[in-house]
Amino acid sequence: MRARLFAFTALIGLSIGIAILKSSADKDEEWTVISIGLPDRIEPKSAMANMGYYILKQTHEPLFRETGPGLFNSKILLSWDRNASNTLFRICPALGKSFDSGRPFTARTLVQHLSKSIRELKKNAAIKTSDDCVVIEFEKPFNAFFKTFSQYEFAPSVPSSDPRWEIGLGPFQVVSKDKSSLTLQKKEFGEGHFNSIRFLDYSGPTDPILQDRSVEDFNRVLLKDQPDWLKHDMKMFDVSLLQTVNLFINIKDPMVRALIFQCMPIHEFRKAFMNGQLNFSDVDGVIPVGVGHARRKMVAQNCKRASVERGDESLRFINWNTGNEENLKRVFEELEERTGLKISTAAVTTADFIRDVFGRRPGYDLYVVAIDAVRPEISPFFEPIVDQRRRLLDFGPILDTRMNLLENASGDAAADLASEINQEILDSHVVLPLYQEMRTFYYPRKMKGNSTGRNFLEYPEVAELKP
Amino acid sequence: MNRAHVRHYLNARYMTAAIVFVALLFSISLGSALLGEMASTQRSLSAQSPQIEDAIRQNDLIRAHKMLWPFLNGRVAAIQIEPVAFPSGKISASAPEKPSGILAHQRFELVSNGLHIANVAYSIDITHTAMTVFVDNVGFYLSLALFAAILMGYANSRTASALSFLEKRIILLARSSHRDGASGGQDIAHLADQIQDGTLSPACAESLKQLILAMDEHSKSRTEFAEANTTYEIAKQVAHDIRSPLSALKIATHGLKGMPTERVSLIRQAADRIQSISDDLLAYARRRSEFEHPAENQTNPSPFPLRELVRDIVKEKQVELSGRTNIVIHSKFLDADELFARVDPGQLQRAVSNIVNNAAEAIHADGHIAIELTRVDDKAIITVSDNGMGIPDEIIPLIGRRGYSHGKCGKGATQGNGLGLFQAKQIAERAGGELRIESRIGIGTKISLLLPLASPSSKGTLQ
Repeated sequence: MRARLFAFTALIGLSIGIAILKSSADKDEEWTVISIGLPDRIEPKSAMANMGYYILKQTHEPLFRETGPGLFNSKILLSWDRNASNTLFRICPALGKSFDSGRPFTARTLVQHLSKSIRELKKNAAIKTSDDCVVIEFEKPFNAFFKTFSQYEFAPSVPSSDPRWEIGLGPFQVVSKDKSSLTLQKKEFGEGHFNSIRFLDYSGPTDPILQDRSVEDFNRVLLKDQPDWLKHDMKMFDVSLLQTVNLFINIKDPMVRALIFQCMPIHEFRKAFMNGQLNFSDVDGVIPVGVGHARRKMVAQNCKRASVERGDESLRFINWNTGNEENLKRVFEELEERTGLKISTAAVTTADFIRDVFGRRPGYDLYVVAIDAVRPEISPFFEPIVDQRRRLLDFGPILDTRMNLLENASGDAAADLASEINQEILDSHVVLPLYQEMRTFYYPRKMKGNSTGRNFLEYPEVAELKP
Repeated sequence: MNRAHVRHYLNARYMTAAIVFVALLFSISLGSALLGEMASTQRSLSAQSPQIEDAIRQNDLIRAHKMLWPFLNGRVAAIQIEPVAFPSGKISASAPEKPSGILAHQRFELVSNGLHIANVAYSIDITHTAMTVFVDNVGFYLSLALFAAILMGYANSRTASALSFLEKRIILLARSSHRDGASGGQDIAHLADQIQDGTLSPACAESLKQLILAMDEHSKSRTEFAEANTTYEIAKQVAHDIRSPLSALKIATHGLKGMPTERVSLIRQAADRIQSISDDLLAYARRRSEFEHPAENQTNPSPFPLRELVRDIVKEKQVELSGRTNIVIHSKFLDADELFARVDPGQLQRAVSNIVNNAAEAIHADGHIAIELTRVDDKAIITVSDNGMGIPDEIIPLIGRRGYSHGKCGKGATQGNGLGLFQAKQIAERAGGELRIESRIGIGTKISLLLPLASPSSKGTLQ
């Protein structure tokens, strides 16, 4: 009897053991992302590009997080206060935060970080430490202090031993990088969590990695290249992205810009560029519907047939998409017929495009850029166009003063100001809004910790997810 | 369940308990609602602190005032913001309707992104909140009351069933106690076994079973006591009535001439013995409690030689039963030494005499009765054996009980007075010994009185 009982107990124990082992084996603790155009260097500045932002959200932590309209909180500060005129700020780092094992986040490192950031922001301020806190006294009121330091571009960061990446205060840090892949590892291993993240650039629609069903995140992949099985195998989240896709007209001659702006057939062009995608959500400016006064309608165009004498010189359209050459050619021929402007197409890889567009932009006359933000704010949509420090083109108006006003405004006043800036951008013809991105996001069915609204779907915080 | 049961279980105490419970529940809900309202108000104001700051900073009091309106939800009756970081007047908002009752006033500091911008005071209308809580929870309270009523009703029905069950069993028990002991005992045992029929919980059924058995035991004791009492009363009367004719008989023996001396002596001895029995019965009657409490008022008799006593009994019985020529009485003394025991010789003699009488009555044809005195270890054993009809096995355990008699014909328990063997057993046990009965139907019966041996010189002591 006793032997039978022992055998039964052993069998139960074995079953439980196998179940636990199987469960552990089933849980893939690496979050894999199919990426498109990894940045050359992982640093706070990379936040301006989509993939850079995705990576920084894992590796860095800004001083503040905006948890509601104008309301800020922090994961790395213990406390903060300010004076009524917003010239004096006192911020105290939380204990126990560190970049890596040898470099804790202290008042001293915070002073270094703030000094550098304030220089970049071209602000005059005196910074000193006081009782493990940092006191910053600005010459003039800095109303956008919290908003500015809630951006990943101003997240605390220190150099690593490898010049290709920096280390932030996020839960992950870069451990290896090459041209088409990047691996992040969690600083503190967590049982039952994703402990590493791998970004893999895909080379095109035929890349076999697109058929790898162990990949968690295919949402960076162009819509046309996304595998069909995602719809069946993964959980779908329909998201109206805060993103507009725009044709940047980086041409000095305002007449030429105006011609392209007024006569480029938006319907045909966006359909051709996106390889036959049929459904597009119209938008009447560079800010998407849901932000400010943006409306769901197409930009008003008024194409008067005209001819601009440019000889044999043709404009260059920088094409980072693939398989759309023939369609684009037909659209450009139609435009030439309307305006006499010749447009040639130059194909680039996505990575090259991202590198160039944030750099010197050699021969970049026309190119498509998606502008987005990770929160419903207005200024990030204008920055790539009218902010001298951040814009992705060489011509057109620079509206730093108004942008400052916008950063300090709120509510209806901000929306009104945004409408003015938007109109000025449209009037300058440097950007032709094409459509607002509507996308379905796909995530593994069994994944926990992700929900619309809490963990921003477009750029998940992988540390909060569980396999 | 009758009306009395219902009245008992739905009395004021239970109703008060139910009302107190619901009141307590309501108080907890109200307290929770008030705390929740305070937390919610402070949280919502803190969430809007940047907008409030902006309005105050721009001295846009209308916008600030508008921001307070959503907070005036009836529970929050009034709210006031007193700016401290900016030169601005107070901003107050009150609910359009007048507060209906008691107000709870709260204050807190409104901090916007690290800057203490204002002091906020707000009032929560407790009466309104209480009404809201009650209205919100009335369904719950009703459900709870209904549930409690159903539960109480169910519990009461179970209790009533149990009481009814108990009532029936007690009636059965009372009836069974009027019947004779054996069959009554069997009924009760059967009754107790039947309790576990699902009407009661196992623990309750077990308690009830124990109660029934205890009541049965008590009932039996009372019956036995009553029977013994009757017996004693009869014995007392008989003993009293017999004294006068016995005195006359004894006097008459002095006038007997021509009768052999041995016979006259026997008559006188028999008359003396009847006198002794009569005296004993009277003494017994006076000291009835001796049987109920034998340890009380009992002195330790002196050691008495048993051989002579047995010889006298043998002689007496040989004469007494000389008319029954089919019976041979003989004796054996297996031990050479005299054996002593601390017993009352008169009582022991009567006991042995009764046993011999029983043996004689059990013999219908030719037979013999053997009276032996022997010693085994530290016990003297007086054995009376016969080759009579024997006693059935099921009767043997009952023999020796007070009031039980196997009877002359062995057909029941009602033909003798049951005192003989009972007294023999009592005598043996009082002396520290025992009574043993062995019998086989058609073979015969052997009854042994085992008495602890005593040394002839030892004195009696109080036990």
